Amino acid sequence: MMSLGKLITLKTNDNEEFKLDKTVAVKLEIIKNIVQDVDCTSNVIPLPNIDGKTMTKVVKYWKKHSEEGVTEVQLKNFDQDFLKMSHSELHDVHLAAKYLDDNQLKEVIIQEFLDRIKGKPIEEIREVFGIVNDYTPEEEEEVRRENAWAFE
Amino acid sequence: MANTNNFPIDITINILLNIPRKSLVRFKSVCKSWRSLIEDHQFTKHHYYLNQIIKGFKTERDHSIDNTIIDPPSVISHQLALKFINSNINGVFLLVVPLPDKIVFWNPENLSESASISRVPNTTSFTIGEWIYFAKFSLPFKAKPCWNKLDYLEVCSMKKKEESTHSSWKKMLKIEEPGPVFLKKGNTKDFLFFRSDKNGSVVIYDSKTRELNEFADEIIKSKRKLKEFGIAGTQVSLFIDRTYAEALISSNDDTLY
Repeated sequence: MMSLGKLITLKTNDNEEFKLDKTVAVKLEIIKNIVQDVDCTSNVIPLPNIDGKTMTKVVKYWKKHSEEGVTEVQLKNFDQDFLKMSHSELHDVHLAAKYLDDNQLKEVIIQEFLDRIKGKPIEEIREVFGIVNDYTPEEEEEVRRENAWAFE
Repeated sequence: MANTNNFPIDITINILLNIPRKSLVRFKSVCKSWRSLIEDHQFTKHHYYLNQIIKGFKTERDHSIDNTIIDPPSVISHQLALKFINSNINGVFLLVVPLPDKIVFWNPENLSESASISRVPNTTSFTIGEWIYFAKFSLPFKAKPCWNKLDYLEVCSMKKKEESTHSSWKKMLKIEEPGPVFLKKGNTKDFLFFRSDKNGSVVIYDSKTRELNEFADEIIKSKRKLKEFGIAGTQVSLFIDRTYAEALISSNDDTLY
């Protein structure tokens, strides 16, 4: 197999390096901008806001989605598997996607969050978002009573 | 807004904006910061418009312009205008002025560069929907939004068939086409524009090269091209894509507080 694209190296904040084909990497606005400014093929693009564990996931996602000849069904299955991660991991990937300005990935993750909280009791929603309940039991009771119609 | 939790507020907003009204009310009891967010006036407004748009998209014809996505604002207020500017998007704010022969596109971004629109061959008349899309993808958007330039731009004069004044965007945007209209946005933002008019000529716009070509006898060729893009049959798709629509109605996040 021959590859025409040059490689770009992305370096995470814990010094993990990811080599990406330029054609894949420039799909990301932020990387495209850096690449346009300087010839980065010999250099390393630092990603100070992303750790290696998260970046591994992101790169996995990009690679799959830029594979040649990949079918819709394959992508759907891939996404389904891809999204099987803990709430906090999902949150990290979302932050990374946000930093990298990858709208597609961002949307996929927001959708996953939506699916996770859809129709769930309040307690489970707190869990998904890592929220500590700061209502006193009396206050919470009151809020619930005021909005009782929504709990039906 | 105090947020005792480490979950970033902007993601929370993004997620909550997508949640149906009833669930939102229920979610007020998650924690105090959620409650104040959900009860925030700005948030409520965003939520309303966004959901109107989503509802519009979910109807039988996805991304169709036939559905009123949001009611046309009766007055384009200064504040609304600023919203569009703040949203810093690669889009054109469409302002359809109910005049019989004019459409005005108002682009908050650098207007002087939008002259490229004149490259459109004047042999074919475009429909409004096509103009929106064309304007969106053909105008250069690199320029930073400028707060003071609230000018607008008249892009084209068009002959309207008969009726003069329209009351809603729905009517304004409705496509009355003899032939099929194909619009397709590629993954990498290159954009091809296909259209056949009564005479069977096809116009292809390539946003990569920024060239607009008219083909009189190349229907077969263009049909092949359509196939490459996975388009079969008559369809009108994606006039206002979701990100664009969202950006249109959501202002700078800071205004939420």
